[in-house]
Amino acid sequence: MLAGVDLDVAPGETVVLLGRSGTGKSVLLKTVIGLVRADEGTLSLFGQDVTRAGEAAWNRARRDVAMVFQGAALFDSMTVGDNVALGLRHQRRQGEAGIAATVERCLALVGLAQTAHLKPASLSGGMRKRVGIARAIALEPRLLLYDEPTSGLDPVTSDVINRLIRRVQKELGAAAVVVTHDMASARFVGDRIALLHQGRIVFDGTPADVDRATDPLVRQFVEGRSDESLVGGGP
Amino acid sequence: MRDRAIGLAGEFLPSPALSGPALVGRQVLAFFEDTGRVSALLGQVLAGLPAAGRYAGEIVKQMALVGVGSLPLVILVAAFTGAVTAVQAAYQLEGMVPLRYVGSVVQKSVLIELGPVLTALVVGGRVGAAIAAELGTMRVSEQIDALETMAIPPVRYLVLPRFVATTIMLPVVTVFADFVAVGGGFVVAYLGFDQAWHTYFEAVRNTFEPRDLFSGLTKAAVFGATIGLMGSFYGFRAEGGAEGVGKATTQAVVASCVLVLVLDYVLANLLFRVAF
Repeated sequence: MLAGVDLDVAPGETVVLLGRSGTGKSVLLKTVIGLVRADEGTLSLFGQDVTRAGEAAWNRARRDVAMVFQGAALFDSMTVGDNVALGLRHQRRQGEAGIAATVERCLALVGLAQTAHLKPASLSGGMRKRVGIARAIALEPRLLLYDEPTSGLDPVTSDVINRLIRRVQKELGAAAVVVTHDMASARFVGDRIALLHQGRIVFDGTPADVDRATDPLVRQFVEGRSDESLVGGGP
Repeated sequence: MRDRAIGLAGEFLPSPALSGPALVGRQVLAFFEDTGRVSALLGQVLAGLPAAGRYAGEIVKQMALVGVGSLPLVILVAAFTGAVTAVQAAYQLEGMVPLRYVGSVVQKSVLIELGPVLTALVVGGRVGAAIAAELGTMRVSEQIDALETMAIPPVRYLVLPRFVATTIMLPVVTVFADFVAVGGGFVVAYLGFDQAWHTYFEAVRNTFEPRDLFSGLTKAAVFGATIGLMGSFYGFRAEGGAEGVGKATTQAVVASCVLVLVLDYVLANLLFRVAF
């Protein structure tokens, strides 16, 4: 699916990965966090080669990486507070009092203070996404991965999520990779934008570079045109 | 992946369906593949047993769901099982063996075979389906992926508690089933052919052997482990949304029931021909 992806993310940088549906954006994110293993190539996280790492090594690497899933992936049987606390409890970084304080701080950061007792089923889509972000940042990761964070949300809620992503990046200082096909979101949250097409990165530049680009594939995506002459064939 | 077709929008299309000999071959290979994967999952679960104490809270919760939740249905099935066994024992013994031995027949049949097997089939259908549905839903909604990203091993966090709970609780539930079934047999003996309670229960007691109970509960423990494992296996590999979860649930129940019957035969030989 991916054949020739070269992508570097600097500390504190937010890279947005654009591309059409089915081109492998989510697969790339899952490869970065080890949910999918690459057949070829090299993957380095914070200078460590994890390409052929075993499960124990991946679990150590994952302490510095967190992912916000497209559907939030909250655990329905737990409250919001328990969802946010799950990783902290498992890694035993703090006692219960410390965990409770961290949960409240993270929920407050995403604008959901005093909701720890609620169940995910009672939340709206935007609230579930924000809890997903709170759960990710509770572990203080050095790299955050966002899979379509504004997918399925109305424009106002999407803007809330975009601003939250910027705020989280500023507060944590973590690097981020944001997968999306929402151009407005990409321009707002991204320091750099990369375009994935048929398994390869075909563009990598700043949001200003995107607006100036003359590459037909980039222009087609930015302008939202379905021109069949630019697609087809294999990787 | 490299040979997959590309759609009009540059996306990868699913592979075409197989038919005829290719389909049969694929299914044969899939059977052996699944056998290997189930064995691998069992290995991971057993390797995690020393750390089971960390998940004690979840184990207890699952034990309540398996045991307490299954009791009403198990009791109902057991009552009728005992009753039917008594009716058929009376029919078969009449004219050849005094009916005072009906209690013995019910007791032996229930403790050795009907108790553990029918309880396992009932619980397998109920609990096996529930486990597959829950884990399958978690799989398709990426909750299991979320656990992995938080360095929480999904097999230890999800499968281990369910495996331990079903292995422990099926013998417990079977004990209840045995008592109720023997009682159900008495009701038929009393109402059907006026047998006094001391006649019936003396026959039950006189032919009771601890090895019968032990063998039945050993079977129940193995069946319980099978139900927990198969429900988890099919739930874990569900894909394709609601349809995939439904398919996983059905497969889990069918596989559990088939394996219970196959293992019953294997264990019967081991316990009654080899061990004793």
